[in-house]
Amino acid sequence: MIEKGGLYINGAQEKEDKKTDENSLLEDRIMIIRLGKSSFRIIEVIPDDEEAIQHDRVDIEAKSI
Amino acid sequence: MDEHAGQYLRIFTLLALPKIDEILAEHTAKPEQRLAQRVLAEELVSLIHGPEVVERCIFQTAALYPAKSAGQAAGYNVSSVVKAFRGDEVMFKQISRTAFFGRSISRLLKELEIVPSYGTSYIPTRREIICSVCVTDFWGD
Repeated sequence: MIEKGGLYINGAQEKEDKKTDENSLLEDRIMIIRLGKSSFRIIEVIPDDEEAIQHDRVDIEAKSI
Repeated sequence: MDEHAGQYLRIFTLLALPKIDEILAEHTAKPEQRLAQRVLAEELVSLIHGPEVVERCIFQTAALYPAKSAGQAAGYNVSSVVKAFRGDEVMFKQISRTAFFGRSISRLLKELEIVPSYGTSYIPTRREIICSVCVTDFWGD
């Protein structure tokens, strides 16, 4: 059962504010964050010399009724 | 939800009644596959936000939960997850290794604008709710 408002990292609930280390990543690359029941985030850790992608905005609100 | 699945499918979707009966029969035979819930989520999201959003949700769900989809042991396919979410401005963030390691989770979430500030209530955006409709179903709540 997912706790409302709970913080889950890579599927496990985090109850304290710890520091990130090599165990925080899946395959030394991503962290999957779930906040409660309605929010997901994927964090990809990239090499220092690599530039983060720049998103083009996609306005999905325009498709809403 | 299980007991209301048929009712919700009839009320909230435009599926033909014989098709709904077919879905419910399959759902009753294999409730653990949550077919009725998945169809309901897909149909609703499709009606409100369009089929392309449904496709993205399904792709993201499959990337996050490939094992559950296949009924096997849990396990992430990291490459598929990255592929599925890259390009999603809201759900996908990148950070350099130096900036990532040794940072507290709270600070990381704040700096990546995942939460407005640590310790405050978080209100998901509509985009997140849309995606969670399909994804949450696989998580099992």
